[in-house]
Amino acid sequence: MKNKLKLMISFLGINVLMFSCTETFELNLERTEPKVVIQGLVTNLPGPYFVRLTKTTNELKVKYEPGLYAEAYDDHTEIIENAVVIISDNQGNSDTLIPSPYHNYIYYHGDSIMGYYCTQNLIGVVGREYYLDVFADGKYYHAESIMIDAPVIDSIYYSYKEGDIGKPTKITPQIYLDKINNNVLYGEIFFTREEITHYNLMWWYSMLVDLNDYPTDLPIPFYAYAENGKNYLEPYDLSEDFQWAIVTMDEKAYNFNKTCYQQFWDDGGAYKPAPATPIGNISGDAIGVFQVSGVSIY
Amino acid sequence: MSKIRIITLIMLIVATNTLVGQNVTIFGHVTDSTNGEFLIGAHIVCLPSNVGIVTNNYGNFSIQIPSGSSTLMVSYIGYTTFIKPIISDKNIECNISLIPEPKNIDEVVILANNNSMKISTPETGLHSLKQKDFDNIPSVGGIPDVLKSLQLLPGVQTTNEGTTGLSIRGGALDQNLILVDEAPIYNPAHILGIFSAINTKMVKEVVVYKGDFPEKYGGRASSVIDVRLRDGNNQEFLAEADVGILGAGLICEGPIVKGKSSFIVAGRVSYAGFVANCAKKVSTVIPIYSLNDFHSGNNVYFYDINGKINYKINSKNTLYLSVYNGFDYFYARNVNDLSTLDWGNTTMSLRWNRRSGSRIFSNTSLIYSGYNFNNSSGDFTSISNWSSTINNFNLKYDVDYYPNSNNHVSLGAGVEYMAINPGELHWDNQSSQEFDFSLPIERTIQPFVYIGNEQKISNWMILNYGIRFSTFGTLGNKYVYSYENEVAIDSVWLNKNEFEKNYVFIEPRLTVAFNMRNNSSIKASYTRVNQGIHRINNTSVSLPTDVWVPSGKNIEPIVSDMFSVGYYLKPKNNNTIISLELYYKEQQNITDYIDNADLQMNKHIATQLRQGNAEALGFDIMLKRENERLNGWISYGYSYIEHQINEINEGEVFYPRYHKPHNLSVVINFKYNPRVSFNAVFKYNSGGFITLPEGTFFYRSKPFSYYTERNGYELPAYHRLDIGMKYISKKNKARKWKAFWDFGIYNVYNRKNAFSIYTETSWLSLNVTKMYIFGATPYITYTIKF
Repeated sequence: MKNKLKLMISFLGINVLMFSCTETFELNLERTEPKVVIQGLVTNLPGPYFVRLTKTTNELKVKYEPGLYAEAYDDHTEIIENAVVIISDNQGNSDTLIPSPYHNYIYYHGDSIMGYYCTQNLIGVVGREYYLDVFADGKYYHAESIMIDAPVIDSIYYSYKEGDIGKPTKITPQIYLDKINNNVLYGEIFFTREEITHYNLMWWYSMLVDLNDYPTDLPIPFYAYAENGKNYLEPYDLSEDFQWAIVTMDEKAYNFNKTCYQQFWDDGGAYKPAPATPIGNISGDAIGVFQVSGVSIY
Repeated sequence: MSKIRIITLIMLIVATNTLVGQNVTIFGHVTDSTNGEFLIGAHIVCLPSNVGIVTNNYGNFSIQIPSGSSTLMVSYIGYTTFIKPIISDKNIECNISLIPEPKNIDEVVILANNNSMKISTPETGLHSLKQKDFDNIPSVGGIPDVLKSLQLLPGVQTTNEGTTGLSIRGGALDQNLILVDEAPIYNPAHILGIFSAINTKMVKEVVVYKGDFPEKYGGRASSVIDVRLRDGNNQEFLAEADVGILGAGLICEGPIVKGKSSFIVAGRVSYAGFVANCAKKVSTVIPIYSLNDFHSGNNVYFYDINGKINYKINSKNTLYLSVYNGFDYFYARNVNDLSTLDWGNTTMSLRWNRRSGSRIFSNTSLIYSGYNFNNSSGDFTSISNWSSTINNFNLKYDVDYYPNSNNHVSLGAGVEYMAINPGELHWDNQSSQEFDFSLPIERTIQPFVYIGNEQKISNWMILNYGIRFSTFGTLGNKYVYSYENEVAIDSVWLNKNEFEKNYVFIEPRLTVAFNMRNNSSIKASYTRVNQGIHRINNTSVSLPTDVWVPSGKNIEPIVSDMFSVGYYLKPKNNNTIISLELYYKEQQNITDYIDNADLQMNKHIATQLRQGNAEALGFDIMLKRENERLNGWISYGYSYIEHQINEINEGEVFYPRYHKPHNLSVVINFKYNPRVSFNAVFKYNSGGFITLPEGTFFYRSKPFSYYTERNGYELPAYHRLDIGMKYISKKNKARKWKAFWDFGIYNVYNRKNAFSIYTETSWLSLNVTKMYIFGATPYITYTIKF
């Protein structure tokens, strides 16, 4: 994965020609019927688990105001209320979700529901298959996925590299895993100084990994940030008090997340591949993914 | 095989059944008297029998006429017509040197013979351009460009302005066989396509076949661009040097043994990165708005060098050695100060040209073509080096046989071997997380044999028919995988000499021309061609890092069927030729890529590809005037291209990015007086289609785009006007050299044509941006000849 990541990074150099000029392009979008967007996550960590229902928009301008940190988590997108959302498993357990502010961003938005629906009593168990059924705006959407056991982190070693003049020392973690279950192909690494729970599995602190390519050790986590409208990757300035987690997911969820990531780099420019809509595992022409993950914490 | 035997037999019968006992053969070659260069396509006519023929690619001809008294006329554009009475009852060798016409602009030079040949020979979709055609077209930086000049021809498109990729009559960018002195070029671009790798100073002639291929060509599904280089002056030593805004060049030529052997060497170097850095520095001192977009700290340059020598062993045998090497270096500091990219082509052609008797001309060629790139990139811990190479060897034997004045038989055979290293990845300062990685070398072998005949059935009908038979085999020394739902379910190890797959290609070619009484003709053609290799690229612009992969068990070769019919008119006493051609192209097994394909260093690349069908339909209209004082052309092309590939765009038909239905070009060159000439180009075409966002959705509280169907958005139309002036300094008798100036402006009215439109997605915003490359861009070039 890291090999390919670096190749991807190298192509950034081609995007900007020496002689090129740029200007904002007014794209006149056709007014199309909005699509339903479904974002669901069930793990083997303590619940409740949540599903978010929103709609696409024909606008390309983001409504929140950059610079306001808390606002960054409030996308002001159109939410879907009064939907029926049910998560069940192959053991006969079923849970009808209720609108709730109890989600990732509760810290920033208090009791604002923002289109989230939460489980009431469901417990995520590794090895079970989970089903999502959504009835919204007169349409039915369905997804299913198996919770795969996450490999255990055996050890993490940190190596230190002195930074260039004016730059800080870099700390590079090398993560070693126990033998991986053959069913595990894809995952995500999370790392945070806080205790890892179902609620802080947020994008900022994660990195997709193809565990199939790296059976024992994992790549160095980078983080992406935007500056002056450009995206950059930087290795995380880590310290040894971070808590780590390996989160598994099925191939469709992995591909959905990966495609979203790629949108930061594959912008559709002349030297980039044609971009495409991320395709998840939800039927009924909805955009989104129902991710069912086993989590191991180190 | 039986079909081939029958066709061969028919050809030989047809070719020999018209032999006439009282005929004599006039044979030889046609050269330029000032430099000894062979003239390709010179027109030879014997009167009163009115038997005609044109010289072949080595300036040779053989013509049969009735014994007795005749008059031989040889004409070529820009040269005084050669007329010689002949009285003979036996074969005669007649080597002719044509004298260039005096440059008198008031004289209306009649080029009727060449135009007549154009409309009467049985070829459709053919264009021939000489060096001066390229020199008379304004260009970016004042560097004449072969491939970008070809984009002014009808039926020739490009995906993005200022790049060298060509879509010819609806074909993909990788479906053009670009030959330089018979050696294929795999990446004909400098500086990511801004300039082409062919030095126009070396060009004798560029012939473009837009669909009707002679049998000797094969291997690409849409077109052939055959670049024939100059041989060098075998009469006197000459040199020429030029300096422009973005590059400089030098060319030297002269006799090794006067009249018998000559050499020519040409080199170019570009300092585009240095110029960009300077522009940035200027912008910090002088507030010129248009320079603000330049970036500093770049190191971008290229060089290329051509060398060619020939040696005339005797009147029957001549040897040619042609060598080319080009190199590009690309480093953009402002983006990634640890990333560099370099690439280059190397070719070598060794040819033995032989005349056997008076009717057979043969050419034996040993050809090498190589390409490589190296992409070095890194971060704070280590550097990776990603490299790839192509090595191609070709041995072939081509024969032109003139059994009589009504038949010209072309036949030949050869074998092509190709080794592609799709990629190797090496790490400096390798850690436990990084490991070297390489993909297996792909090797192919392609033997071929062909035969064809151009037969004059009557004074009003010429038929050209032939067949090319070849195989395309992919060799082992690697694992070959079987896939199901994009997952490898089985693999088999193949030894070095085992075939993964061996395809058989049978390619018939047929053209017929009907010459009408009013100096016009109607032609029709059918060509089948197969393409066994595919360039892996899912961007609209070709990249140096594009990798070629051969057809094999999991990837089928492209099959292309091309039909065309045309009407050609040359009004009497007029230097104008008008042509209208309709064409239809149908292709099977074209390749495209699944959404979000993973193409880099992927040993299961076949899982990322899908194959399907393409159709192209259109017409080309061209009005061309050939006159010393005012020449040029107006052309309009209409094309409609559709692709249909299962699993791409949900199986629905979609346009490729080079689908640009309307294409108008106006090229004018006006000679005001012997020292001053003006030229201008106007270009208009539809904008093309790309994939752009249809809207936004939020996932994990971040904005992302969802997109239209594949290439579902039509870009604004493209147009620009370029103007230029050539000025020859007043002759100073005290100097041994002569100076020339070229001035001009590319894109005079500063149209901001979209080079690319893309979506910038960041964690906090989403913007659509248009990138344009060339606004109004002036150029100046100073050239001295001595």
